[in-house]
Amino acid sequence: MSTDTDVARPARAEGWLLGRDPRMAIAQGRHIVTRALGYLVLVMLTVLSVFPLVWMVLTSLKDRTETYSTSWLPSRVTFASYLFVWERMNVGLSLLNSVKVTVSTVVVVVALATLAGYAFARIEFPGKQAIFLLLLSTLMVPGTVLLIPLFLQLSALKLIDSQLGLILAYIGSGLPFAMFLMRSFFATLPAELVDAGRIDGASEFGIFARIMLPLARPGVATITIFQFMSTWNEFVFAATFVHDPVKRTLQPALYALVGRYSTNWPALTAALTMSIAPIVMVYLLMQRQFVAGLTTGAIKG
Amino acid sequence: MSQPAVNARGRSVHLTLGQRRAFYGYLFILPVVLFFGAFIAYPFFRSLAISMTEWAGYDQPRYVGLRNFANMMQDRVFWISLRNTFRFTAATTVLQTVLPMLLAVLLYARWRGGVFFRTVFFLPVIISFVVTALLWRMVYDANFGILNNALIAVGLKRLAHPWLADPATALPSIVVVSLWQSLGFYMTIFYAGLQSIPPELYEVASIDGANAWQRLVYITVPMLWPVTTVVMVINIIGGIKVFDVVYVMTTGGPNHASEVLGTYLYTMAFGTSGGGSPTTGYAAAVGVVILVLCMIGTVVQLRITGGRSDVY
Amino acid sequence: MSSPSEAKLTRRSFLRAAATVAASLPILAACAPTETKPTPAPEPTRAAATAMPQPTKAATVPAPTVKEPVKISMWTWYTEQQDEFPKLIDEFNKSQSGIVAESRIYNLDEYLKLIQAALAAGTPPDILGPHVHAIEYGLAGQTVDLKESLGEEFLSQFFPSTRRQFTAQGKQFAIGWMAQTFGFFYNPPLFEKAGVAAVPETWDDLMGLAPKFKAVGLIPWAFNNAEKWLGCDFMLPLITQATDNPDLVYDLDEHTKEGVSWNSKPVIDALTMVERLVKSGIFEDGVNGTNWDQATALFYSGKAAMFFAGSWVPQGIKQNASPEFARTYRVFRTPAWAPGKRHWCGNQAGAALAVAAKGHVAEACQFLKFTYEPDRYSRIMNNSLSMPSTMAAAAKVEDPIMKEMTSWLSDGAPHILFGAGSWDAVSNAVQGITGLVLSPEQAAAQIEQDVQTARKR
Repeated sequence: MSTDTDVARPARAEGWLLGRDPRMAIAQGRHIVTRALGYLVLVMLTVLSVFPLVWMVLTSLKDRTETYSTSWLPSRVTFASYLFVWERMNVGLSLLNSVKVTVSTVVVVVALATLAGYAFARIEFPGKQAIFLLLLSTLMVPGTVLLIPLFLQLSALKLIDSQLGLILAYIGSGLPFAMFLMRSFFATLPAELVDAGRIDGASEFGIFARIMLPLARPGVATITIFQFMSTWNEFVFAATFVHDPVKRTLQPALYALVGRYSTNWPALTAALTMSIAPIVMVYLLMQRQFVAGLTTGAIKG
Repeated sequence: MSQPAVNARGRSVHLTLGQRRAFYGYLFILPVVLFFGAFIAYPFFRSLAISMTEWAGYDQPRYVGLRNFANMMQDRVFWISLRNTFRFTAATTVLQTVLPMLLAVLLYARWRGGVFFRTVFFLPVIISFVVTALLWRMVYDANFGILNNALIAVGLKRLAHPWLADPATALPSIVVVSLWQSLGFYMTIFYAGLQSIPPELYEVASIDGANAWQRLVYITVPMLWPVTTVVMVINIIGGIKVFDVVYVMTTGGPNHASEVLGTYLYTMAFGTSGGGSPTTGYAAAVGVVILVLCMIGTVVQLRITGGRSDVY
Repeated sequence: MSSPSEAKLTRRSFLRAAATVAASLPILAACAPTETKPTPAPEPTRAAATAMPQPTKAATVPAPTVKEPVKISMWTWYTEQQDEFPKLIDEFNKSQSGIVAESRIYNLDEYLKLIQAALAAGTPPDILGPHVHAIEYGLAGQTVDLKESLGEEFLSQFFPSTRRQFTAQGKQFAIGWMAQTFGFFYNPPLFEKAGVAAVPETWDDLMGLAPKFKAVGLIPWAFNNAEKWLGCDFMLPLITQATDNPDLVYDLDEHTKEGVSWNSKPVIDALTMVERLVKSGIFEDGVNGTNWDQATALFYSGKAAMFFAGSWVPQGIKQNASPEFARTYRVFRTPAWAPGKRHWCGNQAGAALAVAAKGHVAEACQFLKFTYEPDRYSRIMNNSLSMPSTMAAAAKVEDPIMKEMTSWLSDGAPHILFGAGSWDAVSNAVQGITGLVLSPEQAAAQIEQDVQTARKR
């Protein structure tokens, strides 16, 4: 039943109770207890992680007048909020806008960040340290401080109320972090591979594209997920740089449901449930595509 | 080390190997540097200029030199924010580095439903702040909250507390929320890092008789070091800059008990939704202070982790 | 293994890939609709569908033979009028052809950032909700003096208190849209259960009720001070109650007169009253950790007997509480300082409208005059269960609870602060009192210190 990486595993798992070797039985017993404890921890963490989602979905199925009832379960399940959000709040259009903006951003960020991350990790060039620290300093600038200057800048470029302006701002602010992560993933890969490639006479781009990039798939998957999620959930830039309801992305559209005094919780949670779905899908996609079945062929070969 | 090279036009160009490589280095980072220059550096320098003006955003800016910084030093609320920020950063950096690493290692031992668990743990990261705040308030609610009810149920009524109202427990409560929300995030980073470690290392170690703990300490942690450094730096920077989670849980209250630099900055930049006047110039100055602190924090941390950090 | 040609190939393919990405960006941008549609929500799905296949046609517009209608835009956060504004816009646009109006309602937090940015860039909407910066915007020249643009006759239909709060240096920079008064919403069946026969007349009476409610396991008064603003709405009128002088709060706010200081007896008296209330056990535990949603939940679900808030609540109750609750709740006046004294309560307009100087001023004023026509304005306010700011409309309020609350406007005291740093200082100090961390004297001193720090900025 258990599949694990423990090499010193007894050849015959069954019959341990009748056990020939008491030491083996104890080892196996301890092993099962460890596994059980591990599962317990994982299950507890699962409950902790999931309870907001459960609450969200349950509330979205409630009638609005039940918002403040103390039980989490709706007395009568209704999908009225989903319909309301879809029809009245133009969630369909905002969703499309979000997809456009997010996909563009993610594609560009991943392409540029992997390239730059590799360069910082494995190519020597003068000023590398200084430039890297400079780019790193981006992470240290609080977003609030950039908001007004960026707005003024985009306004001067006539890029306010334009999705292109928003995309550019997202790429600019997302690149440093993605590049930072990729750099560290590339640094974890053995330098011998790069040297081997260079000795073989491969071009830098070739080494990058054919040797390092395939091995860095976990890193690529990671930054894809992160960039997707942070762009999809981003609110401040989206709300400030694009005002036209027709061009707006999802998050600002959703916040129209949060009134100062009276929030329509079933509608809001319905909208939020719908907005989480794409992120979860992308996450699962990345997990399957890049994570499963990673081989170590390059090292052995 | 030079060899004759040929460029695209077929003309002989005498570049050393090192120079050619460097050229590619620059080429690869060029787009990132361009974006950085246009969308980060330029607005930032503008903001630096704004930090030396008195400007409300809707009137004309007026140059005042370093007066904003001088005023900041005299504002008691600034000092409160600074102190709270340090506490928050210290707590979250430690918790949000160690715990996700352990969780990633735990999950890496190939469980049934590994993908399920990893996805589930990532959920808090993607749930919007609106829902996070609402739910954690339900947990911390002084009168009918989940936490207090649980404590009463197991007979620990003395520990039941107005978590968010008491100045002593407000910030620690927020640290818990931050940890909850970022566990899956950092775990994912560590998990990806773990996948780059060649399994042969573990096999060899097991054959040599190392147990699980030794494998963790002598193989996993060292191999993860570059990633760990990254996580620590992100945590430090994130802690100094923190805004969302604090704002959404307590808006920095009560009476500034959980005020951090991020919320202080926000209040100065946009006023508050109940009142308060925006002072864009002063806010930019606070932003500069945050940046400087982040730089100091990063440099200090990298120095401490020493040459093994391999960050550059 | 590698030859120059192979190196060239990979470089070329990379450059090609990069070029494709770079080229696709403008196309993506072009796909986005480039025209701003003047009409609100119902139109967009159709507009987007037609805009996408035809990129960038917006730039060239043939020379108009008919005069182009002027487009004006109104930005507010008045979600109460979410249903009414579209109807109003429709009516206005149909009633004349020279102006096309649109209305956008944003969430308040996002609105504050938006309007800051728009004003800084010089591209504000024609009509905006100025929030507490009404006077500052006006003095900075961003909004027009409505005495000139709308005329004294038009302005005289508004309640004097709503006019005063937007007036400085003899100019009025905004007009009230929704007024508000504050009172105690209560649950009569719960009063019966606790054996309370009559609503309290003074604060002392109120404090006397606390033990009765607690004896039957109820929270007497659910109060949310996590967001800080209700604490202000509650405490500031107490200053007027203590002195019977509504001008004092205005003076404190402006902070320019000789000898005016927050560290003074009236303020300390008001803060002492708050402290006494806290110590009487009338609130739930952890007032500073309770937010609006939590407090209303306590009240709507019958765990708390009373709830202090403003006149925007009835609409919330209608939407969010059970129908039974909506039928049984009632309201009583803010208690007085002592028997026989006036029941001063907050009365300023929470929501206002201002006209941007950089916008189409004449057209905006025309829109405003249309909106405030007595029948129309009254209808909008009644439909959205909001309190009007004009005396004519106030006389026509239909809902009984709103009607009662509207009648309190004349006993109104200021509860909104506009001065630099005032609100921050007061709201945080009040939290110190409700958390029993500061004494009234300390709190008053803290307010004065913080206000002076802020005014130096």
